[in-house]
Amino acid sequence: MAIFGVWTPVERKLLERVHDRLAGTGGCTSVRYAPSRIDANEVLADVDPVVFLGRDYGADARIRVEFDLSGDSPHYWIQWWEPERERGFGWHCDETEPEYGPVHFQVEYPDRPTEREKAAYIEDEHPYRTFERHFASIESTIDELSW
Amino acid sequence: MDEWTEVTTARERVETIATTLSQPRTANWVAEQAEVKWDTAKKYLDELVDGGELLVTDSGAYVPDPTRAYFDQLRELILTNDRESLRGELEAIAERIEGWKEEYSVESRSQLEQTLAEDLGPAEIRDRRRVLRRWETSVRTRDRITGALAIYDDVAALANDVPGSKTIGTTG
Repeated sequence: MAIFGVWTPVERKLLERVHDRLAGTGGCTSVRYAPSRIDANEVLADVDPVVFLGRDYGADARIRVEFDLSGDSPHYWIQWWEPERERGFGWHCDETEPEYGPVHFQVEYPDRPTEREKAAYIEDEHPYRTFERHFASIESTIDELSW
Repeated sequence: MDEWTEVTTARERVETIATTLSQPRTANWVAEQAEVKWDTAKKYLDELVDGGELLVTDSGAYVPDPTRAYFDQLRELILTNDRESLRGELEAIAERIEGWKEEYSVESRSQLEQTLAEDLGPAEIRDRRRVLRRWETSVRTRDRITGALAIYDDVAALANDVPGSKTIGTTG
């Protein structure tokens, strides 16, 4: 955000909050900034699903969180990715798929085209709260998906 | 996984929301976002104002003090990095920017932005927008590191004047 012509680090502070939340969550390991701690654009965490989901899952996963607060409304990308299985899902709010509305839910498969559908959009929601809402729904989303 | 309200106090939630606001917001709005009662939000917001983290607008809304946020970040850069780490980060940023210039055959960020008007597929547009965001962040980071290096010695000397104070130059 620019006030008096000087950019203030709201995005950075937001990423720090997300970083701390992931670091304090059981099953989230190697919580880190990318591309670097100082020049952070996103937060990444490796996930041990046995601890994170509380059950055997069969594959490790990774969580990725990114914000862009430069426009009129926040953009964000909250992603669950399973590298070994080459599949994942996420909520993207970035105006790249306008036919699905402001936010779309995206599922990626190793052997099928990416699927997208409209996702719930809460107007005038603080981006950190948005992150918490999606973060809390990862487990139920996994249960509902037929990969 | 524990819910946000289970692992944080009301104060922490108000602070999280209030210190990451992009625009002035009322206590009522902050209360709703932080899942606390209005009077609880008001109490902690006023504490953050007293502590210099927030400003109150004429209409009674709260917003992070931009000067405080700016200097806090410079201070953090200096107190948690030695000069060499900061210079190393400047080099890494220069390499990142150079890599984007080569990858997209452009001379500047604005030139890459102009390529969005070309006939590109959605995946390519997404990719380039992402790079544009990163490029912008890297330029801002570079400016802040340059600012931090300019006052590094003075701030480090002040911190080192305090007996038993945190050692400068850790890269935690």
